[in-house]
Amino acid sequence: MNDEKVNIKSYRDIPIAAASLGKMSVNKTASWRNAEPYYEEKSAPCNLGCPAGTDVVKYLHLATQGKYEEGWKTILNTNPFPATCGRVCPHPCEVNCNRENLGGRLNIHMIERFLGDVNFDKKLEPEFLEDKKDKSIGVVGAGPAGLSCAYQMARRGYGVTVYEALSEPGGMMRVGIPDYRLPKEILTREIDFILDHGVKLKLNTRIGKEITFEDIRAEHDAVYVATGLHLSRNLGAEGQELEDVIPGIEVLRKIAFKDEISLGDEILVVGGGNTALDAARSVLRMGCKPRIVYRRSREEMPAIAEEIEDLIEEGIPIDFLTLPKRVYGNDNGKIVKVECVRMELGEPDDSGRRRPVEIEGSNFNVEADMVITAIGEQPDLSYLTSDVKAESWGVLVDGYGRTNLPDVFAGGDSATGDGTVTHAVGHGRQTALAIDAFLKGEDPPDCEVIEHSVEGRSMHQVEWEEINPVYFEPAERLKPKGLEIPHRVKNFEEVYSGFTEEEVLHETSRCMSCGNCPECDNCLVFCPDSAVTKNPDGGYTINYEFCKGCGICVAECPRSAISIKVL
Amino acid sequence: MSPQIPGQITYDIPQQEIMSSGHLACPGCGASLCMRIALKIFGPRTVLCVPACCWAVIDGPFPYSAAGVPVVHCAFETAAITATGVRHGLDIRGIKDCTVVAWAGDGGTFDIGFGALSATVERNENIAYVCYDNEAYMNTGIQRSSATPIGAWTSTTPGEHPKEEPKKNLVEIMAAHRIPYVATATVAFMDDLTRKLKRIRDMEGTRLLHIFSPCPPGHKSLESDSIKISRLAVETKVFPLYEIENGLKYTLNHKPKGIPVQEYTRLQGRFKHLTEEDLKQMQQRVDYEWDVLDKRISLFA
Repeated sequence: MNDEKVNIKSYRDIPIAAASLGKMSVNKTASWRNAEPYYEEKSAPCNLGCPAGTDVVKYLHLATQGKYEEGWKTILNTNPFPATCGRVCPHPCEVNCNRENLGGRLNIHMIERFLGDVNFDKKLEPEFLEDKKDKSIGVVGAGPAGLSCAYQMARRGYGVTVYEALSEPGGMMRVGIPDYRLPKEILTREIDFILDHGVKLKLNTRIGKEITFEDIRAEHDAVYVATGLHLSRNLGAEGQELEDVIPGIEVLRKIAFKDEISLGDEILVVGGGNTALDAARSVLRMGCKPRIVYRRSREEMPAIAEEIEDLIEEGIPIDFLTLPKRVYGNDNGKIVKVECVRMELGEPDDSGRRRPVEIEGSNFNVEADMVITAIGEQPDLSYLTSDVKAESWGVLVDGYGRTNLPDVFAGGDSATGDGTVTHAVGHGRQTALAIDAFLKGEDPPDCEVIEHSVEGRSMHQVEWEEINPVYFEPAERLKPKGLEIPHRVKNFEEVYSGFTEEEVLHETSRCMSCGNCPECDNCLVFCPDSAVTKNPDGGYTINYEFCKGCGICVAECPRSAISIKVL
Repeated sequence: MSPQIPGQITYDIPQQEIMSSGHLACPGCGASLCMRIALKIFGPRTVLCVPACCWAVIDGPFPYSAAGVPVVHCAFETAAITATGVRHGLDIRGIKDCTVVAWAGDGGTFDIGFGALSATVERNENIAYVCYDNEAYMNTGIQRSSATPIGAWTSTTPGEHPKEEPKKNLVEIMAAHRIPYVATATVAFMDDLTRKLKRIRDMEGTRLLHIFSPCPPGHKSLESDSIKISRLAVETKVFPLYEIENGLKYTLNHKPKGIPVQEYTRLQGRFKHLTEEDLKQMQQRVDYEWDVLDKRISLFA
């Protein structure tokens, strides 16, 4: 039998027994169709949630198959700090994870950390995306944004020099995040990998002191400014000029560099952000008794939620809705007590959070001999020339990190104030692409595509309703193991240990790969019309000559990688 | 440790398509999917004996055929004995490597072909019999059959007079014949279905596979819901997956979740007239039948 139409011209063409002569494939059933399925990979919530634009769903899929090095390289494509971000990022990738409904969100950051750690000792040869070029850029500030930008530009063949005021690179990752959250050899290893790409690093080089901003602009074809937030806001209470009222970032920097620091015994830490928490937990580990005062309630605390829990577990008291009014010093200028006042929450302010209002007559005293302020930081932009437009909170930039000067770009906290390592890494990469375009005389690429690793998928975020849950078994989210409290508060050992391979495979096996086809064959197997074929090079093809548009493939796709349109 | 990919079902089904596209099954047809998978398992050396039923039409009009293997179209009541004849004929000619399959709908099995089937099983003829059960005479216009469940609308049990009699229990009748192998299956449980298809391909003696097959026009359901309905039929205990060897050895193949029957009926327009009281009674009947089966399984495991 063949696929062609059978031509019966006379009775002689009819076989003696009534036997078929041709296949039904002459009958093109496409004409029956009133709806048409088509393969359309969509964006998983984790991918759309990552501020660094990492292809999360891809590295999870690789980790599922035990391809840890490939998974690691997938992260390195957009973020040179997997082991660091796996530890310190507040993991917005997990916020909308569809596994929430089947045993809890995927513990994505622990998998990222594992991929960073398991490959830690591997000496990876730098991969260059483009040929060497004779143009160069200067990066001011060796923090996450600056290093991310430097890394992406170096991979594209540009000469890169990074200018850093401090004696070691890393910015806030080095001097703002304590060792118990991020051991510094991890950071050093990841920075070394960036430097392997031929990035020149000039330490102890403060702009405006050792070298001027004009010099840098003259020396390079473009300049990226990402100096972070290293000026602490004043306490704004009487007695703030006393010697023992010191900024939290200064305390953290001194501890990080193991500089000499004289701490009090009972320390009042003012603020509710990560700096306040890090400072309080650090001084606790140095034998002091910290106590946090915060003028709003726990819901408004900007610090990472898990960090707040850890801090409370470690026994550090927090006075919510409390504001220091006056710091009392003795004749020698030493702090003896702090007068505080209770607050209540009023109408929402510009930030959308309810504004705290003082309760009159609720003043009380707290015993303290030291005050650490952590009520917000500002950038120090005094080194910039006046032709760069900037406000007190940062350099003015557009979505690509471009300032008003064509060759000057800015990012990280000193321009955007997003406040996390991963956001800074994302900005650094995004701006690197814009600088690359500027140096080639092109327009910067589409903003959304840079922000997220869409990679041919649609920007549509897969929601829980689009998942076919019958194909997934409920399974619990695994939590990392922490050190015992009495042990952890005595030193700077890392609090949480990483996942074992077994734990990682448990977590990755929970990933539903939302919107991304891992070739489960459901569409192929369930098609009643044999209209789906598997491609030799991966994926499937729908034969639109025969597809009747029943939509079974769409309904039975576990993860919404097929869509249907009504004709 | 072997990597697990959730939702990554690894099907043990040959890639080769024997049934061709372009057949005349309605969109979302369970019966055409059954045939497609069955032929992949049976292979090209298969003879189908198809009486009057949907598949007599689906296969296509003369001079065309969609099956890709020889099809003997036979009279309504003769699927089992036609297959018997073909088997004997092939045996006489020394052709042993062919699987002879009687492929009939519920009408041709439960009602019209029932006598011939019973006689065939009694003689333990060496054929495989597949009944794809869409629970009514769908092909001729959705008339009731003895496989139609109680409470269902059909064109002969219309309006306020849905079917009053419960579905005939074919599997038990076959077991009473001490048939070497009888099993239930459905398209949503593909691994179970393919395993049973392999079993009836490789066995000797009469073996019967009863496949529940969703029918969007007859069940008044969405074309895209066919697999879901098939899955819910099992999970609600309406159509449990089990097998019986030699009429005595019972094995349950899938432990149903025990989802309320309503979840199954609400996807099908043929049940839309049912009141809450009706559904309660239906649930009681399903639970009762399940209990009976459960007891049999524990008695004759």
